[in-house]
Amino acid sequence: MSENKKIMVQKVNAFYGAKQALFDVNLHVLEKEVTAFIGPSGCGKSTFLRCLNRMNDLIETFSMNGSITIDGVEITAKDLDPVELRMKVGMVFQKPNPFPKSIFENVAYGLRIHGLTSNKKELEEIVKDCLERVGLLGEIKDRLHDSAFGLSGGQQQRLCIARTIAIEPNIILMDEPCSALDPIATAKIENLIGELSSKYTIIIVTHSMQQAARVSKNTAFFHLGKLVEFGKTKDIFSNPKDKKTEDYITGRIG
Amino acid sequence: MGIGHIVKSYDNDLDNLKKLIVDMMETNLKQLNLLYTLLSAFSSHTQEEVINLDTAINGLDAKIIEEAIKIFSLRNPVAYDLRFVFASSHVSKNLERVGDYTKASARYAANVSFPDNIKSKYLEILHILIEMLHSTINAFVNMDVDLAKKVIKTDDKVDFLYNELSILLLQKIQVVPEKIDEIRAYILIVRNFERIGDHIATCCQYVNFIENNIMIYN
Ligand SMILES: Nc1ncnc2c1ncn2[C@@H]1O[C@H](COP(=O)(O)OP(=O)(O)OP(=O)(O)O)[C@@H](O)[C@H]1O
Ligand SMILES: [Mg+2]
Repeated sequence: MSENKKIMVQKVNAFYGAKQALFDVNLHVLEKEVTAFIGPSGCGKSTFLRCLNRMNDLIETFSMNGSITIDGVEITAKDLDPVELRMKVGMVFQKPNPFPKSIFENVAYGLRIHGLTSNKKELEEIVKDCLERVGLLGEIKDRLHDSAFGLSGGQQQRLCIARTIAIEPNIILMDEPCSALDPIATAKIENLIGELSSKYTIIIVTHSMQQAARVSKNTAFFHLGKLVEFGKTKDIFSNPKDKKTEDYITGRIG
Repeated sequence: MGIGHIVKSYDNDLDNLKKLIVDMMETNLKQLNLLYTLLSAFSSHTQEEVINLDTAINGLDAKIIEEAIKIFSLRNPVAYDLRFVFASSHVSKNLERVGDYTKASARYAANVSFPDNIKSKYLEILHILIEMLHSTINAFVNMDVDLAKKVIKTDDKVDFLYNELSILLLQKIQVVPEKIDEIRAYILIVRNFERIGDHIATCCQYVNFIENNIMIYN
């Protein structure tokens, strides 16, 4: 196991207009491990996650200060190309959001626009490989060119993960990826997260304490825009240090 | 824990589990007090009462395990709650053993006619065990770690008295070999006392575990 600090976050404050959403967040994310972000609604989990791939740039009122480095490179720098960053830092959202295209095209699209392959045969191989890795190929191999909207919610979410890994990111951010899924589809995604973690650094935001406990090695607890506690998941769920963490995970505060 | 759960019925489940443990400890205490009476002056009626209480204790153990399993499966307890439910089921198992040893001691009591100097030593140990269990109830109800640690310390005294008495009894076998069966019963009873002390101390270990997430073994 590498103990490499893939992402280093120092003194991050974030604002929507005058309203401060994150306060002095300091944290590191270890390479090829799963880290879970938990905390009550509105505590800033999504805001923080979106800082990691500059997704907040798309929100006009948003501003931030502090430092975030990935592999030692400052990603908050003005001259950094956010599109390039997002190739390295993929994201999976709460609601599956496939493109209005075929299953095949959903995965092939990113490869094409990023110019990752021009060879048709190679493209097909990569697409199939990605679909295989998310456990989808067997289920849909004769429907590759049907619309992605014909898939179930759980299948769509796995398709979105396949689309994300197709462009070979280093980091995958997942914002409540299972909240719209049934327990079986959820179990498949969780299993997939476990498999993907040997290759990628994964951060998952979840409202399910049990899910955080099941899938992650490290857990960060946010409350009112502050990082309250960060540590090994097994410690956080058996013996948290902070009273607020304890009260939240045991269901005493919301 | 200071504040209650957002889901009130979860608090009720935990309170209920705690009440069952306290019920069980109080039943154990009653049983030990009866054993004290029995060893002071044998009566088959008291003996029967001690034996019957063991059935009640086993019933409480079954109920506690059922309740703990229910909370594990329906509430997914974590952190303090997890330690509390986990520890409760272990405490219950330890109390169940205490019930067994107390019952077995009552059975042996029919075969012994203590000389006074020996009887007083038995009653002394039994008195300490009763005090230990009494404090354990308070420690568990109030999650009083200091009191729990005191009980654990007191168990050393039980061990000391046990050693002292077993050496005495083993010597006695050599002096009066014709009384070997009776002396064997003495030895088994004091051996049970030592076990009871150990199990009560373990219950107190769990109070510390619930509060501080560590088990200290001596
Ligand atoms: N686009 C926005 N404009 C203004 N304020 C926003 C915006 N997005 C989020 N906020 C505010 O920032 C704070 C943090 O929101 P964020 O979405 O990061 O929380 P969260 O922890 O992800 O919550 P949830 O668990 O409900 O998804 C909240 O007070 C929210 O209202
Ligand atoms: Mg969110």
